[in-house]
Amino acid sequence: MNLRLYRHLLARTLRGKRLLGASALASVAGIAAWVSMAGIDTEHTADIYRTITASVPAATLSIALLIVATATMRDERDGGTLPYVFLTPMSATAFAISSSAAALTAALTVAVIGWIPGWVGSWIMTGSWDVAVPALALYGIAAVGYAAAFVPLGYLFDRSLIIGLAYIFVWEGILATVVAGITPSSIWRIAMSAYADVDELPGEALDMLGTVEPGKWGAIATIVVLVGLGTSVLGWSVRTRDAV
Amino acid sequence: MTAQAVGVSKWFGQKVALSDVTVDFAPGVTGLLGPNGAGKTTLLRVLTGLQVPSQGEVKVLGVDPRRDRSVYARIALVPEDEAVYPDLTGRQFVELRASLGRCPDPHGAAGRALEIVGLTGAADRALGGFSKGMRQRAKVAAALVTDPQVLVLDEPLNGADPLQRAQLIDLFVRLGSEGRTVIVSSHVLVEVERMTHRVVAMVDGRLAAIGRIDDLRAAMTDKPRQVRVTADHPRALASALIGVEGVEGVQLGGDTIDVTTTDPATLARSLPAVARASGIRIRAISPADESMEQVFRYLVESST
Repeated sequence: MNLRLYRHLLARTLRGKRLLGASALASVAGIAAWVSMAGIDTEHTADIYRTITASVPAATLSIALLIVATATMRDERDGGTLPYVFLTPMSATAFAISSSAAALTAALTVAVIGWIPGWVGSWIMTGSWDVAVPALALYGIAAVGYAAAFVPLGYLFDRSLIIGLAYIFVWEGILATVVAGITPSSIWRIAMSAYADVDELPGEALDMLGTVEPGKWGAIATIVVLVGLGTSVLGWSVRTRDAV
Repeated sequence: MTAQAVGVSKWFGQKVALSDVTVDFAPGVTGLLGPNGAGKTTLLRVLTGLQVPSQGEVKVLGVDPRRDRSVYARIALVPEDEAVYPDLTGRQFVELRASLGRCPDPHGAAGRALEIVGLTGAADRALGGFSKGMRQRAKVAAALVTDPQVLVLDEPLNGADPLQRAQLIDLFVRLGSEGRTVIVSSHVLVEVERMTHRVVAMVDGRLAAIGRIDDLRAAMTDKPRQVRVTADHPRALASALIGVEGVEGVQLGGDTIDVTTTDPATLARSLPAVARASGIRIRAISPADESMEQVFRYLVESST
């Protein structure tokens, strides 16, 4: 791991407008939950928060994370500045680990910022700080999972955003919903399985899981493997693919 | 040899950018010449490991940069793209390269590199506000900051004003004379000629020629040579030369005449004799078609 490269890529990835836009997109679900809880019986507000948190971020948080994670390498490639970071005396593995770490940090930053409005909203509506805390598992694991998968995309493909959107909407949104065999390949459902394990989710929220069983350790293990895979693919790409 | 490509080809789908290029680069300045689309940039990218050859192999300082990335401590590239980080200051940009290149004192090294390219005064301004020429110099500083043994410069004079060009040319010549391998791609032949007489010429992704420019010209036996003669009575000398063995044609121009010959050795013997016989005094004789531009034009013509 090269800290200088990590800091440089992190700062580039979280430049002002992108951080603002991605955070706003990531906050949509929390704000939607906040608004939806207004005027509802106190008895049901927590479930409203959980149901919305289990569904809406699948389309909003995941896109915010896609934008941030692919940008880590795509910015350098599209901006023509990749040679300045590529021609450096560090191994391809160190390069990949530094880049992945920068993307994971950026994704986690956006995810936590996106979680805050829902946390504040749930406190205002329920009077408890605890309602939204389990959702941190969902946001955090989703951030790490999506970042791990999307960083190599940003390095490998000019149209990384389109490929990522196809994964989110076609693969996760449609195919993983109707084809039980590929449901476990959905990063959102992997993150959801951790959320379902650390909180008591209502039936509507649990429906999102499909055939995936709740389990925080299984989710963590899967995401760790995904991080390893994503970093390995990036390292392989640095060794074998063109860097312009 | 400090950098070499052996049998290197590179293609992008159906488009062949490099075709079986074998070339060595030694310490000193070498000019890489070629018209647009000749494959110069691709060759430089392949040499530095930015692009992977589809075929063949590359070695810089004895290793393939793709396999042993530690060699990047001793290689630097000034890319053709104007791209820099617009939010960074010149100093931050050069320091970034120094840090990534593992310089022991990035701040000090950046200061020295910026001074070499004459950017000390503007070092703390954002690169986004730099002129094109200043950005070029910042890129050169970022390349020099790691004290590289092999310096690859892709159109490094683009955007620089005449004074800056002259300074950069002097700098590259100095770096070459220090024993570094400096590879400069350019389409401005006059400027390359001021840096070096050793050239690699490329046309259509292929190596058209390699060597000293005068040797290349001498090797072009199928092209008649042109010799410029300055004499007291050029018109009379031109008349006297018509029909002389080895003279293919004579063109009068002011106080000089350009003699076209397919046999320079015979002309060298007959010219003084003709002048003496006509009572004409010859003041100077020089080759008229050994300029880099002329030789390059011949190379392109014969390669296409």
